[in-house]
Amino acid sequence: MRRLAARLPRRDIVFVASAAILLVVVAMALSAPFVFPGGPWEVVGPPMARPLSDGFLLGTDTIGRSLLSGIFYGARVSLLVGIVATALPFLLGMLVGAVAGYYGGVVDDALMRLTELFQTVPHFMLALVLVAILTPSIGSIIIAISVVSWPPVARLVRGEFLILRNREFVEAAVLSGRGDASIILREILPNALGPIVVMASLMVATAILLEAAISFIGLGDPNLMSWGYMVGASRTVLRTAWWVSVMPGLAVFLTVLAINFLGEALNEALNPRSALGTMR
Amino acid sequence: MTADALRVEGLTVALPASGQRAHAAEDISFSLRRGETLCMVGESGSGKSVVAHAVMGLLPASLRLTAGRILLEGGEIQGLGEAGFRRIRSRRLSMIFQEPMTALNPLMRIGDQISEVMRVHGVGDRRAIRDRMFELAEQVRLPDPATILRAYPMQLSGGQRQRVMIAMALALKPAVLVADEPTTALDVTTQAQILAIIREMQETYGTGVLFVTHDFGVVSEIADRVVVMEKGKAVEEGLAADVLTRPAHPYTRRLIAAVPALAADAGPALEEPRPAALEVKGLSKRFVRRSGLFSRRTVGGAGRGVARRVGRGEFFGITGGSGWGRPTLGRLIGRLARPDSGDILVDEVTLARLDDRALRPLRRNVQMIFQDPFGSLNPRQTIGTILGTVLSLGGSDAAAARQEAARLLDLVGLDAGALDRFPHEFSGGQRQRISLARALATEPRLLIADEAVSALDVVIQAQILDLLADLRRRLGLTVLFITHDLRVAGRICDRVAVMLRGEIVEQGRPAEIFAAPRHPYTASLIASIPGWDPERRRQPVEQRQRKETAR
Repeated sequence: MRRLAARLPRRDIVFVASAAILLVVVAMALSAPFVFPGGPWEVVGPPMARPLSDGFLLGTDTIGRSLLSGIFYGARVSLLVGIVATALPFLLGMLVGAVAGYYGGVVDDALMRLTELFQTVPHFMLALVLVAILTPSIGSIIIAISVVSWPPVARLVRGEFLILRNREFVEAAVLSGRGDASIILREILPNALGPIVVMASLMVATAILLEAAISFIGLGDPNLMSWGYMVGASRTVLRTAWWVSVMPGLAVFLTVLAINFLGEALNEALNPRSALGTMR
Repeated sequence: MTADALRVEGLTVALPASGQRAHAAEDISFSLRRGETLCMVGESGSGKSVVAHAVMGLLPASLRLTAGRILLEGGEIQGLGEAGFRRIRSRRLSMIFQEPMTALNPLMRIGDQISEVMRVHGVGDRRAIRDRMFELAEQVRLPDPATILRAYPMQLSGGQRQRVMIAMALALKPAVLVADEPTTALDVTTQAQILAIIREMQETYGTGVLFVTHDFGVVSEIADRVVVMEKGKAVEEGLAADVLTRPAHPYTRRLIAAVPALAADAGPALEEPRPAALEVKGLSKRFVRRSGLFSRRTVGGAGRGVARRVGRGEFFGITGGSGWGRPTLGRLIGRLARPDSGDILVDEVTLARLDDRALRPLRRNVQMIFQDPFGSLNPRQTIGTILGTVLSLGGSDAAAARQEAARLLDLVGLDAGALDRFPHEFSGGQRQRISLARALATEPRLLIADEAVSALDVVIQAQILDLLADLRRRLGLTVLFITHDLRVAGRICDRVAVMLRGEIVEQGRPAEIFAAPRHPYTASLIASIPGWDPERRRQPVEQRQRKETAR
């Protein structure tokens, strides 16, 4: 782990900025109840106050709630969804892809047909239907996002496994008499990890975006303030009070961008050969 | 008026500051006449490829040309920018590469790739290009040109792809052809054919060939003159006949000595009978293969009806040209593939019919070393982890495994410092040593060396073969040595079997086979070894020209 940290491009401005943005988002999520003890729904001032007026850093929304408070609390939802709704489909997809790619044959066929079944259904529609059926809540949103996002992981992992399965170092591991689990976990998976980690970081970003989209439409968790809900609720006043939708929109934009850059840096660091390349 | 097709004067290429030495190539001078072949010889890392790439204007960005002149037919070209080089490449200066698969565009038909060379240089109309293409295909002896020109690179064999590369390179009759190890990836029979084609094309077009190779066997086949490179410097230069018979520099002598001669020096015959380490009975495997050009599927058998017995402590060689049979046999005996019929007995335990689960505890008895030194070690594990994993399976705890791993590395000639390093920090030869250490970690009854030295240059190859011979004395190894190179097999094996299309056509002690091959296929294999047949050696270019003028 320390070796990994040493390989991260700590002098790269994009990397530093991305890490800083993500740290700020995490800090906002953690400190929200202390900075804004009244919660995000509390009316604290006149409606649609401009940014930097009346002591409101980002202004207020259509009924006078602090935008800054909303963004602090929204960070909690976005991070929760980003982490849990990535981890679940990530693990599921990895399991399906690894088993399909390693064993091949009938197992592969069956698992891949199932994967394709999920892939052919439009993601956003399926997610919306699932949230509607399960009644809108943070849990149902996470489940819906997980259900629609595991198939690409499974396909990517399977592809990597198919390539690596016949590499000579894997055959050498077979020859030394090791079990399938050991070969999958110790020989193949670490070599397949690079593209998968990058994909996972993209998945965090898309999960945050999906949640924002679902909330924007109005199917979000009614008890939680989310960035998507904030943009959606204020879209009617976009021309008179732009900041009400732009501020949470910017929050989504910067967070997603930062996560993508971090994912790429992580990929570079995970690959010992490319790390050597940057040293030269 | 200069007769030199290519003249290089004081060429110096600087390495980046962190490199092992200051210059990739230092003060290199040579000249190449039309119709002449100049061989640039050296080990990997000697700078020979750097010179070839500098001539083509293809140096990577990290290398800088710091001094010297390159004259192509009397005109300086080293200062030309990318646009300038683009105008002369193919037209006056061409190159063929070691790996024709990566040098060809996998998504373009062969014919389109050859005609593109002529199209981008605006030579001829459609009809003329088409005629020229067929003429070239015939000259490089592509079988069935009409079909091949419509095929994609992956549908061709390695030798056919290299022929296509030659056709492309010579389409516009350039003055100079730079050939960078063009036959290293090919087996000996194909190599001999490609060398013959290069020679013929050269005579047809009067091309000057700058031929980069590490193999003095190849040099003796085609060179008029030789430049020997060591660590970026030219250490010897002269007529091929002189350098080959009277090498002046010790490095040249070492390179020539490393060329495996076709001789069997495996010592006296092993006393028979020995207990059998491996018995193979009537092994066969049918497999579906897409035949080269046509999408038709054919079914072939590998090792059909092979019945062999390898005694304990014996080195048994299996050899033959490329094509199916030879490599599959190693994978079958190693039980990475499952045979359809027949039996494999290792120390009298049958392995052929077992399923994966039953096989697992017996796997330790048969180990393999593979061809590709870059693909056979997990790039994300340190050497210590790679060896430790195998050792801990045998029941060693972490500390004992580390100690044992260090002992194994010592056995293969590496020091214990290697334990904490990753595979990419090692050279090809060192990686093959590590692979060998891993294979020895289970104390196998049988070691299968599947083209284990084919990807290495001759000097390293000789070192690995010496190591195997040494380990044999110390550990009493039994080795099944699979190689396309008869010289390698003869050098190390007690007995050799020659395979043709999945069947063994001849078997015996190497000395007997080489002296009196009984099967015509064996005879043709022996004849295609570079440098083997002194009759075929080149005459110096002056003599040839004299003959031509006399005609």
